[in-house]
Amino acid sequence: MPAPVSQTSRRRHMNRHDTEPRQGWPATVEEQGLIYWKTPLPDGEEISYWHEGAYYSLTSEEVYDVEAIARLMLEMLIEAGDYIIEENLFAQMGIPGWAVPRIRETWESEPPMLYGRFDFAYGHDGVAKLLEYNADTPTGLLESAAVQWHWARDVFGDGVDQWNMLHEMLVARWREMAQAGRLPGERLHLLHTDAEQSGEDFMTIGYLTETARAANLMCELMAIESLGFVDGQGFVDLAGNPVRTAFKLYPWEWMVREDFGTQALEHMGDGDGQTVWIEPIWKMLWSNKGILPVLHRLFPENPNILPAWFDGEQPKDLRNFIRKPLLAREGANAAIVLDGEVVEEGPDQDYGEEGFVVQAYTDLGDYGGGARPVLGVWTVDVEPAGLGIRESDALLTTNTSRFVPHVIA
Amino acid sequence: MKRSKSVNLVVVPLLAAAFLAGCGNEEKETAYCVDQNDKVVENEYCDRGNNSGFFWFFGAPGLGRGSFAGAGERINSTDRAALARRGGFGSSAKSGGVGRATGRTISGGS
Repeated sequence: MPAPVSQTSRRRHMNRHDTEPRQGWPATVEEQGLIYWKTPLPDGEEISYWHEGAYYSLTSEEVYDVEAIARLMLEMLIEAGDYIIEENLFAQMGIPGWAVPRIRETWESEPPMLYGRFDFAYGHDGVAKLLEYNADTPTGLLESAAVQWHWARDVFGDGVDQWNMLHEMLVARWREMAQAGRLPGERLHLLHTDAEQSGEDFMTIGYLTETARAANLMCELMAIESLGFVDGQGFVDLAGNPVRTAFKLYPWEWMVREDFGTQALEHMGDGDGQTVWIEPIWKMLWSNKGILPVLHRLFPENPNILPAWFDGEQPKDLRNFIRKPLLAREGANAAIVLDGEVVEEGPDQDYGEEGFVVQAYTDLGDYGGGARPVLGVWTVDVEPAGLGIRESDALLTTNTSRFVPHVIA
Repeated sequence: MKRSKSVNLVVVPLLAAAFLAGCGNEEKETAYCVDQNDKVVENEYCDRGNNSGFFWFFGAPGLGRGSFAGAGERINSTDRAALARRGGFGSSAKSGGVGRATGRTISGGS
């Protein structure tokens, strides 16, 4: 006789397990590039961002389920992008008018794009719900693609499975773009900001260099602060070589407001004196939190999309929600309101000037000891590529969360 | 199998070691206008662009007007190609980077 299946456990099989960390793991993960595994706290204490004292297990059925949802999300995002352009929602999303012509143009011409990361809540009802899509400058890449891959093999042996095609798919994507002649210039420039001192941004770019080199591209890393511009010639690197194709781990919403923003907009393209930027500028549509109310407006019945509104448009009786700035990262300046009261706030980093969105609250689910995971589902081009799980003891997933590896079991 | 067949890291360990050794925290360079005797002069002499005999010198910060520039890179102030404007991107990142670290207060002097 089949066992009774409760509604809550019908779909969700993901579990969290405690496990023994590998001997000497700090040196191992540092050699694999995770030199930023310590997170300093404001009080001077440090916590470990990489947490291999536990892991998550998922069944292959639920991986296929979430993968299908991510694929569907990408299709819905394309409709949402069309809608923003048709309805001219740029001002409401805090996107400056001078960037709009290039956003529209690249949305049509489709210059090359590389990757992105969905964040899904995966609570006890087993229905993945989109929290946001980091389409422009997602981080957490190296630990997802490489560090947890090696962890799984070290701990469980060669036969272990994991939802993690990231490395292969990134290499294949670079190769495909290069072979299609979509990466002009002799070399690929990869830009990070040198204001980031833990090494996270640098190593994210370093890892992408690894994947581009594996696709036989000539690569050059540089700080975006060192990027030069010569009138009549366009962007140049430190040696004065033209920068024809640039991957930048630096958000467009910053770029368009900075001194070189005008030059970047004017000299965008694959011709001489121009630069192909990866990610393309139209990703400002997808990485903006304003995409959330747009998705809800277009697909109000979709169970994987949480109700969301531009701030001020939410129902008056909404009691449980999260308010997020249109443009922040890592939970900054976000606030969770439960039963009408603010119960938790993210770190204040002066975001929010452009406005806010309000998203219905969803419980991330307590997977044991108060650990609340968020599923980071990676996309390469427009294909789901893998999973990286970050968990937090708080309701809000911020920069003090932990990366916890996973396996398919 | 839903994982990559192999994840070979060749460049990443080198970069990680280089960053930990301090290469990621290089001193910022400052541009000085110097005359033929390597004496630091007002930037306006170099800014004119048609003023031969003056050079841009790139070196560590801290040199005052009238002091002499030591070892460093000199570029003729009329050499426009070498004199790309730099620093036009990066101002928004003063409080940290793009990733998890945005909330940190360890960016030091900036």
